[in-house]
Amino acid sequence: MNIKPQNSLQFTLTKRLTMIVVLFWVIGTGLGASAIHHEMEEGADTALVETSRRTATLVLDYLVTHQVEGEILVMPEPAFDVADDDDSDSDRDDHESDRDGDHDGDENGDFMLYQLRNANGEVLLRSRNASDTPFEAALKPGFADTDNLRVYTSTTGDGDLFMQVAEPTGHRDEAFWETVLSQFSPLIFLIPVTILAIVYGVSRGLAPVRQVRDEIEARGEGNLRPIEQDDPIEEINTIVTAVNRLMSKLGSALNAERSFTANSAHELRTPIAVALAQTQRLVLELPKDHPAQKRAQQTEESLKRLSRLSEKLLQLARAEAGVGTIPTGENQKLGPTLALVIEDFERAGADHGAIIFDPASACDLIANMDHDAFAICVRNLIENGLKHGGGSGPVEITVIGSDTIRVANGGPAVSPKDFSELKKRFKRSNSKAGGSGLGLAIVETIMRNTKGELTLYSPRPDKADGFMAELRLHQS
Amino acid sequence: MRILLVEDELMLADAVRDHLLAAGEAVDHCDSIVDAEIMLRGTNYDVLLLDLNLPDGKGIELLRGLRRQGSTIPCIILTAQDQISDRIEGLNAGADDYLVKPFDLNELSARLAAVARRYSGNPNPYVELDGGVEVDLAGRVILIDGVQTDLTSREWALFDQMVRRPGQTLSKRQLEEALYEFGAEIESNTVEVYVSRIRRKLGKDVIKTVRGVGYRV
Repeated sequence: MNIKPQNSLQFTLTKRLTMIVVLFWVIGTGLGASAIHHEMEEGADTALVETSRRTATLVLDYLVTHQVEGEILVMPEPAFDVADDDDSDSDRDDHESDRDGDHDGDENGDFMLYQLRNANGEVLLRSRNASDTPFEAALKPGFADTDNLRVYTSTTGDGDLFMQVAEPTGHRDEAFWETVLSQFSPLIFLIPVTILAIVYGVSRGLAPVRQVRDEIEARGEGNLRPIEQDDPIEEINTIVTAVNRLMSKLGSALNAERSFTANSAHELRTPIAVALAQTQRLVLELPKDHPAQKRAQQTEESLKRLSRLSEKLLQLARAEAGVGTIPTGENQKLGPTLALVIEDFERAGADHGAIIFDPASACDLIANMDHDAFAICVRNLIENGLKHGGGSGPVEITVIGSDTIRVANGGPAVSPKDFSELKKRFKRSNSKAGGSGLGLAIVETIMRNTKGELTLYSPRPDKADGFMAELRLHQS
Repeated sequence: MRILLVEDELMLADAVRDHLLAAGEAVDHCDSIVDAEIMLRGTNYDVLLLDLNLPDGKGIELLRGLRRQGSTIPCIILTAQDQISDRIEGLNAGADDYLVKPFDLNELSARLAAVARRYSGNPNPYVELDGGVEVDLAGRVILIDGVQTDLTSREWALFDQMVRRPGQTLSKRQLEEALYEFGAEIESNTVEVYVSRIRRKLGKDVIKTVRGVGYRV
């Protein structure tokens, strides 16, 4: 089954964690900025009030001493500004560039503007950086906002004069944004770094899950070992325990099934052996011309056929019960087993050159395959070779490399129609040969169990006739 | 050959025993490990035919015990367990051959003969004796100057013992072992009677008498 990468646990966790972290950061940043804004406004307003209180006395005094009818007085620069003056004269009006009325402070960074106004709203005195135009704020004590100024108004003198101290809102906004930016600009870099850290952390955190996934993936019919964990994690341990319990049950069920087929083999073989032996004795003990002789011989032949068929059916039952792989998943040396199977054939009379095999060539033969299953496979292939190639030269058994065995025999080539069905049960290419039609089906099933491959050729490669079966064994 | 058959399936044992008796072998039968151990202690058998699943244990343990005690008796396992791992286990335990049930009785005879030949030190089944006598042990055929001559089962059993060990003198006691069927009575002159009959059929020079010791070919 194909699973999209975005459906992975790692992707989902990373995405959600990142979204949650970013969301909280945004909310935190917003709340932080709001708090800063509030505090800065408070501070700036306090500064306006303080400026108003401290300046009022000086301004009144200056007004009294310097007032000229019909003229707006401009307060001179504070004493410390003299040193900062960039020319040699003592004229403080050379910085009156802000008289254009835009109220954006001066170049020395003095953004506090003030005006002393009478009850009619006329400007009597102003700060150097303020304009002659009265502030648009009403002459009412307290704070007021104009388009571009935050103004604090207080009464002074006998209550007929109004001191208005103002600060450009643009300056406040600039201060606020500079503060916010300086406070939160590191987050612009921290967010990607945090995302990377989340990806890394999630990846590391999910390592045990991946390990368990790989372990479960490696399990199968041939490998039902319990999954072991060096440092169990609670959540995964529950899964692993459940999987181990399940594999144990599966292993028991498979063993019971295999044991049943093995026991069935034993229980079935013995009565057939009795019947066959007794019938053979009967054939030998009856006089040659006895009327029952023929029937006894037919019974003997039927029992032999029954014996062969039951053997094949039991092999097929074993194959379908899943025999083939090694529970430990380790490769087995199969050369000696192959030699033993061939020796069996030779002991049973298939010698005198009927089988050609070089035991030395099988020294390196290894596969993740049970010895019994392997023996069943090669026995069936050799039986086929002897049965169908009899009289057309020997059966040649060749081992190629460490994982391939070829069993080839002579005789007529299999017809294309029959060839395509050879691996099916009870399919015979040559009914005269007397086979059960199960041999290749058994081999195919075992090869499938063990992830190996059975390939058939007819005629043999580079020959005009015969048949060849090739087993490509699976190695772990 | 004197053979001990250890098989708990009585009908199978009966057929095997009859077949081997008809082939001129002396066969004793028992159906348990305990009985087999007693019989093996009392008699020198030439071959042991051993079933693996017996009522009182595994036949393979009996074989391992025999090998541990230094016994070299040839052994053929007869079993319904056909897996190669069972076969490897049996051969590793000291079996000489392994025959899976159901088996052809003639194949059993052939395997017996092959094992016996290997143990006699002469694996060649074709033996030539004095007087133009040729013996095919596997086919149980005797030719005198190219003409086939038949022996009875008991005559063959006795002759077979000597032919398997050409040049070796066998005692009267050893030859009696080949003729014994367990429980059967053997007269004191039985061996002499059968040697005499064989000489009449094959020629007087085939079997030589070693006075006070026994006979040899």
